[in-house]
Amino acid sequence: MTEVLVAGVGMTPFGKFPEQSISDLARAAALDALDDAQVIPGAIEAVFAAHARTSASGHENGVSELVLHDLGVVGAAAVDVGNFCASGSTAFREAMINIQAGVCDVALAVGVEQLSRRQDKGSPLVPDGDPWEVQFGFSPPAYFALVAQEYMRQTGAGPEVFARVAVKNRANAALNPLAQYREPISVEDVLRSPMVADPLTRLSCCPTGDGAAAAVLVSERFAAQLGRSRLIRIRGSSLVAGTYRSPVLTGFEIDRVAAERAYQSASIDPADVDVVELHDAFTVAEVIHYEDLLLCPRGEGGRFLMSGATEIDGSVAVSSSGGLLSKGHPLGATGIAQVWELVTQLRGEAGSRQVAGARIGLAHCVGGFIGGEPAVSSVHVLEGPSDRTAGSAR
Amino acid sequence: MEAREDPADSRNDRQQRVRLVGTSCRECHAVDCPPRVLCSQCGSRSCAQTQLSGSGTIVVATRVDRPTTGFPQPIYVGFVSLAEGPRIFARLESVPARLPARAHAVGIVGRNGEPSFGFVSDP
Repeated sequence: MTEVLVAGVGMTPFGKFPEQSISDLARAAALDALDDAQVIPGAIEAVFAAHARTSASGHENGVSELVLHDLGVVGAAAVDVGNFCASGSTAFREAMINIQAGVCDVALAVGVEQLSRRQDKGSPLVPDGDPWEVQFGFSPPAYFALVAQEYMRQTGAGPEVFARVAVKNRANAALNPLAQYREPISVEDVLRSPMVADPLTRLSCCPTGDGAAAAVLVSERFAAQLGRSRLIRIRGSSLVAGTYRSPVLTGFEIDRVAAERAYQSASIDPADVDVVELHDAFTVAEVIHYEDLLLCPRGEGGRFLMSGATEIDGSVAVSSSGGLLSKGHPLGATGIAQVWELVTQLRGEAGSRQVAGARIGLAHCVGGFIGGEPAVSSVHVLEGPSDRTAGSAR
Repeated sequence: MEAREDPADSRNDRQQRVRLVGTSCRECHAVDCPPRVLCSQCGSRSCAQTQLSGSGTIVVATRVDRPTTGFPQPIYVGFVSLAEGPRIFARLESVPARLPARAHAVGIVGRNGEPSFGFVSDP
C-alpha cells in the first residue's frame, strides 16, 4: 500500500462573503492548493468535495462536479461528501483511501460552506441529525452548555477556565491573516459577552461563516515525479460514527475511540504530538477534547489548559490557527482547514505563530448529533519532513 | 411552560406529541425513548410501543437564552433519566435549585406552538 502525501494546501479567508458563490470560494481554495503543490488541474484524477449546508446557496449536491468544471478538468471521478461538521475531514480521508487503494495517484479534497446566506442567520444552527430532539430545543450550544454545567460540577472548574480557551485561540488567530476574528479579547470580554446558553456566552461559541479549504493528496509514485521536499506524510487516520456510549457528559467515547484508532494506525503515542487542531466549536469542548485525545488525564483538561501546555510555546500547541472559535467554522471547510494549518506548521511556514520544531500534527473533527450524542468523529495524524529547518518564515 | 396536561392521559393525546412514548423490547425487556424499531440493547426487531410513566430525574439543566427558531426566549433544557431507564434531552420548567432533581412530565407548548412535553421538578 502506497504512502499518501499532502503535496499542497490552500484556503480562502474565513468570514462573511455573501456576495461570493460556492463556486468562487471552492475554486479559489482549489487553485491555491494546486499552485502550492505545483500540480496542474489536469493531473487531478478524483475530487472529494465536502459541504454540509450549501442548499441555501443553491447547491444541495454536485459541488465536486462544479469544482472540476471550474478547473477545466474532464473525466475525473467526482464525489460529494456530507458528514455534518466532519465533512471536510471525511473528504480528506476518502481522498487518502482512494490513493492508498491504488484507484488514483492525485486527488483533490476541497471543503466549502456559505452560512451567511442562510435564512435563520443570527440563530443557532438547527442540527439535522435527529428531529426528535430538535422539537425540544436541542441545539449545539444548548448541548455543550449542559456539558459545561456537568464538567464544572464534577471538576470544580469555573466559567473563567473555559473563557481562557477563547482568549488563547483569539490570540493565535491574531497571528493568522485568514482567521475570521483577530482582535484580542480578555477573559472579562468572554464572560461579559451576551449569554447564549449558561455558561456559554457568545465569545464561548464559534461563529458561523463562509470559506473554503483544499488539499492536494498524491501517491509516493507521483510525489517522486514532483521531486519536492515540502511533502507532508499522512501517518494515520480514523473515522468513527455512533458509539452512543457516553452516559456522562464530561467525556465523549466516540472521540476517545477515534483518537485511539488514529494513534494506533500512526504507530505513535499522544506524547509524540507537537501541534493539534481540534474541534473547539465551544470553549468547553476544547478542554474535554484534551482529555479524549489523551493529551492529559481525565478531569485534568482545565488544569492542563491553565498550565500553558496548549499555548503555541507549550508542550503541545492546540488551535494555533485560532481554532473554530476565532479562525471560524464554515462547516464543510473546517476539516480541511485544520489540515491546512497542520501542513503550514509542519513545513515550518507558520510565521509568527510557528510551533518550534513541530514534526507531528493531529487534526480532530466532530460532526452532528444523533441520539443525544455526537454522531461522528475523525482524527488524522500528519508528519512533516525530518530535514526542514524549524521555525522558518513562509 | 403553560398548558399543563397529564401526558399519560390519552384524552390529552394530540398527535402523540404530548405523550411520552417509548418502545419496550419483547425479548430483553429494555426500554428505548424515543421509540425504536430495533432494540438498542439486543438488536431485536420485536419492540412494542409503550406509554412511559413520565417520572424521571433531572441530572443536568441549564437556561438557553438564544434558542433555535420557533421557541420563546429563554427556554430551560436538561437531560432527564427516565424511571424506565433511558436518558433523554428535554425541555424543563426551570433550572432546579438542586440536582439531581426528581421530576415529572407535563404537556407544554413546544416549537412553533406545537403541543409538546417538558419536565417539572417535584416539590
